[in-house]
Amino acid sequence: MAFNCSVLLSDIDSNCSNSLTGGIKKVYLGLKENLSLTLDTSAETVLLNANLEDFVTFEHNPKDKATYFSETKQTNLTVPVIETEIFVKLPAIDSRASKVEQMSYRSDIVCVLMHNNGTATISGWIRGLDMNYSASSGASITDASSINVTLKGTSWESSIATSDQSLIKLGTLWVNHNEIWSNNNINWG
Amino acid sequence: MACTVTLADIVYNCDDLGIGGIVELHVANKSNAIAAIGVGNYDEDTRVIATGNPAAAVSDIVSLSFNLKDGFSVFSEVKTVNADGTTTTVPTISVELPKMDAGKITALNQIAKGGAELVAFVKTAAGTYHVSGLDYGLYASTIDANSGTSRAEKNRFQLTLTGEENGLSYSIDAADFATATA
Repeated sequence: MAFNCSVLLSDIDSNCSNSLTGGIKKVYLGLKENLSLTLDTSAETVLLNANLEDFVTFEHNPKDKATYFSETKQTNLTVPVIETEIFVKLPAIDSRASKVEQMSYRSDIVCVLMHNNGTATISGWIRGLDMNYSASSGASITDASSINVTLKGTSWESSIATSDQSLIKLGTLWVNHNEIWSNNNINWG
Repeated sequence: MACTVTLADIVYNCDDLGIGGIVELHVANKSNAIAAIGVGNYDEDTRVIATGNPAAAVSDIVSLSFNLKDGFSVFSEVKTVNADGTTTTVPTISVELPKMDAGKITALNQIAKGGAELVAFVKTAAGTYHVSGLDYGLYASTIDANSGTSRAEKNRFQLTLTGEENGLSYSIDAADFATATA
């Protein structure tokens, strides 16, 4: 990427037809080495195409009111630091806890999220994400037994966001509100 | 600020029968409903399912029959728009199912599972047809079983389906409703 300091300002419009609906619909994880991106070279982080060749799905209850994506940027003396945090609540502690523990050794994870408002984000594409988790049985039958997975990353570039989910190809699947769950094998290298 | 909304006349017609109540309720898993209707054949903005969809019955769709005069069964939905631009629509479908027999216990216990994503096909007494739950799915929020305390009271189940959708329920043609629920 050539040095370029001609930052362009552009309009950011408000459109009341745009959905403000919060929440995450689907969570896909893969390794950075399996992610290929095509970006608009003039705009640098405008996505033209993405392909995450090997991937796994982390299924959550879309109504859990817990799973979320957040990102903050802090610029200090011209040094930008972007913190990305993704929280996924997996229902019920079972053998999946061991799988999550194994996966959490990786720190080169990328995460593709399909948001309820129709946006898709790709996080960890520059430096990868670290995975942490906590598991809780709950203390009574009205509490939820869950595995809470947190993906965190620090970078100088934000996650890539696109309102066209069809630009993202996962394995051999094009994902576009089609409600298809992948059965791809886990390949964590 | 590009916030010009589309406005359309709403005409009052005294031939429109505003009879209350629902007359048919069918429930399917959301994945099956979407597979049958087809992605792209329902418009999130206009909330209309394109004519001719679905082309065949929704797989594994079930019909919940009830007494049309029970004075209880209802379909309602409330869309709330907040000043900050967020909106929410909460559909609620309640039906009363007489007699707590073994078959209903099994069926209702299975329908009421956490994480379920259901779609309801509702025909109202006024002759309108609705599909609710296509955005995020409905779930069985309560099943209220009651023997009654005297012979003048009912032995019954009351099932409530609810959810949170992007907008009001989707409209569907009568013929397509019949196809979907066949």
